[in-house]
Amino acid sequence: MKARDLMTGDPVTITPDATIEHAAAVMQSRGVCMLPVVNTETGARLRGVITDRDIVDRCVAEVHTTGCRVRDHWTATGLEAVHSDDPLELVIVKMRTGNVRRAPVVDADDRVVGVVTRADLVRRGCGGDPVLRARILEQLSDYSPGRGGL
Amino acid sequence: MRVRDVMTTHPSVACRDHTVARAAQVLRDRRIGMLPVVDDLRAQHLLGVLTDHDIVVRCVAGGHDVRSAVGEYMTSGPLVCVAPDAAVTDAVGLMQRHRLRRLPVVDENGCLVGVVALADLATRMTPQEPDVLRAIELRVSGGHTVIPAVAG
Repeated sequence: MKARDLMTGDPVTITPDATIEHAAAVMQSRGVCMLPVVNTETGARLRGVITDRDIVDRCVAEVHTTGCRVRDHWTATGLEAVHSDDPLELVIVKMRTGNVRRAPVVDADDRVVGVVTRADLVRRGCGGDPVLRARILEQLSDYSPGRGGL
Repeated sequence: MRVRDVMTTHPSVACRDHTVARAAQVLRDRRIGMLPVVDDLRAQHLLGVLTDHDIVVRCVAGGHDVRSAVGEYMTSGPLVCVAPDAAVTDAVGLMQRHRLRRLPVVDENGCLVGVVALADLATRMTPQEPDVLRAIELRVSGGHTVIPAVAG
């Protein structure tokens, strides 16, 4: 099972130049809490992500009232980006390492092709096998207190 | 196991007339995702709850001033709450049914006495307990927002 089989395709994305207000409106209308940030000039290559939490922590809590752009408050993607041909086990490791619930999925050219969530890994990763399902849940669990990601 | 055994007592709260920015600072500094909203810090009568996601989709998305009052953006009305004497199983069931990670705990007078979070169940109970296993599953596979599957 590869990331491309686990992800939801055709993700809604945002550009670094978009306003924070617009990003928030997109989150509202599409019912999501994370948007992959892409550069349209370079063919929708992944630059990073912005989450509802980023907006709360870095914009609202700082009382930035107007004029903020996605580029001001996003998180640039590191080496942990999920690739569409990553196997399930590697996706689990990357999401645990990054301490994220959801991650953008890119193709070989770094173009965003989908979004994968921890829920996707559990639901689609087990192929209906209850034993495998339990194992995936166990791998995704994390008892360490204070970790907000899970 | 009762909710009172695993809940966080004296949780951080917001008052209805606090600014959204102030609530965001508390969420950030305490590394939490939800604030119970009360009428008065002393009486702690629960009026609503405010999450990080609420702030983004109700305040920021609407272009509203982050210095406006929490009361305008909180979830009020029929709130999903749990009593301190309720069984942990019931709390987990409520979380599952309403797709929530945290519940305010209120007494018979509607006053806030704590917050119970899925995280509490995993860290304060032994992993062998069935309620905890359900909670862990909910933590992994649940979420207040799941990206809907795209047809085709």
